[in-house]
Amino acid sequence: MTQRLADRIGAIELQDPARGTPQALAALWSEGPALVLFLRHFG
Amino acid sequence: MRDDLARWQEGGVTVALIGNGTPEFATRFREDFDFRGRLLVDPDLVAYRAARLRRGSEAIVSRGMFRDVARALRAGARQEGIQGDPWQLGGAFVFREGGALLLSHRNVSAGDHVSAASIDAALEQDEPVEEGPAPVSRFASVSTALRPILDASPVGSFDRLGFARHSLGFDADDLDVDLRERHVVVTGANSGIGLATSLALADLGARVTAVCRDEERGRQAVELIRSRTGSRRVALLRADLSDLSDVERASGELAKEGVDVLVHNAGVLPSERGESAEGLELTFATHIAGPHLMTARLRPALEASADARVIWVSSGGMLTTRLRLDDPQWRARPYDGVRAYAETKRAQVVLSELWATEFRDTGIKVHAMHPGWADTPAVASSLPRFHQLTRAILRTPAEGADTVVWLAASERGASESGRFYFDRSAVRTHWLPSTLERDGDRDRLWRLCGGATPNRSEAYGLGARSPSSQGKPAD
Repeated sequence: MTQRLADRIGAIELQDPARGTPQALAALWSEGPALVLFLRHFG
Repeated sequence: MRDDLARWQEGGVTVALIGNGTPEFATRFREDFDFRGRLLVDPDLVAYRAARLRRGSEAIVSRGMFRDVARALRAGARQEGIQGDPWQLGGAFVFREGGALLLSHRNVSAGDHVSAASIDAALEQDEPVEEGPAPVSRFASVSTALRPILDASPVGSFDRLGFARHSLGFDADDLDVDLRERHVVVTGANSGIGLATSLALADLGARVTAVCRDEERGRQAVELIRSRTGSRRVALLRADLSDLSDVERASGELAKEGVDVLVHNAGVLPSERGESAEGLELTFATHIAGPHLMTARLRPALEASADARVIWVSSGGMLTTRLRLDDPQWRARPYDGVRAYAETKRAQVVLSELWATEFRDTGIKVHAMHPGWADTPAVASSLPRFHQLTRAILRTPAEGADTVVWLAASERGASESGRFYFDRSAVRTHWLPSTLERDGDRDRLWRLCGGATPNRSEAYGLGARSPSSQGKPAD
């Protein structure tokens, strides 16, 4: 159960405008702890 | 929290902010806040949905709004303007290396932010936590009770305000499903509702076949779905739904693979009368003849599925018209593309009911729905004045597709058949007495389409009686 969220969103690829190429979210926690903040919006 | 973000990064934590605005908004955000971590954009809300973050009017209005905003302001947060989807709420998750969850916080209202202390505590612990259920709106029961009254007008109901209100009653667990064993076919999948449907279902793990008329646009759509969802199980099948030979070919290919969910979404709204390859009026061919033939040809494949569903994407415009069969090819009347669209969308709803009756002994469920007023390329090109006037209140394609996805994926989609849905609720198909079918209309429609086993070269002339009139499937 605790892995389900990471499995669900890990394969999703999102773009970092500063880097160009989209990367899978799983890369965020592949080498260490990660804090993922979903913003309400960018404002 | 800006200083806390820097502190966590210096401590070896990968900090990622995900926003639902455009890359331009993200760039400005990075500059304004001097943020050095990973800044990702999710304009289609794919990750937001997967993380089961709440969406609805509580993003803007809630009972504790003022308290939450005051608390956030005291902590240093500032609202300088909405740059993204104003209805989408956020959340915070802390993952251990490898993906084990250490903190799960889904915002329940505007101003509801996770505290730095909670994040510190999560980073210090080693024991994974449960993800927890998706938050349920406190306004859900009130919203549901008032829906029949507030839905009396399309304005405030068909638009994004209506979706925000209706979504208060949504149960996020409905889409907490794994569709990895399911094959979904979506017609008209290269843009708008079809693309949004394909995105969402691929995101839930389904194998998706995108049926598109244009090869290049279909290929681009498939690439976009693959990149946005990370799924490689998305394929293109080129077919023109108005061309019955193409429908036969495409159905033959699909039947070999098995089909669990068939979404009839492809649509047209031409301003002038045109004809299909077989000489049928184009709107009729695309909305009625093609999907009817495809449903008939895929029947064996659907029957082989343990949980098969056929979903017709109709339109709220059908509520303005009755089933008209005196001149379905528009040979006797001056052509009116908007009327042709509405009449065929009404016919789709009736056909969905007839197919539901036809399939009642098979387990195949048939649904019809309407997506509300959605901002899609088709609406912009076919109804430019309407689009210009209503653009500020139109739904996103994802909002328009939500009920299609729900019918395709949720348990509810397997529980009933033959109903018409709007924003995940079964609703009536007639608002006005003038739109009720006349005696024999349903028989005539079924006969017009060739019944359950249409002969492509002789369709629309077979002497079959509709299933609803005799209680038995027609031959």
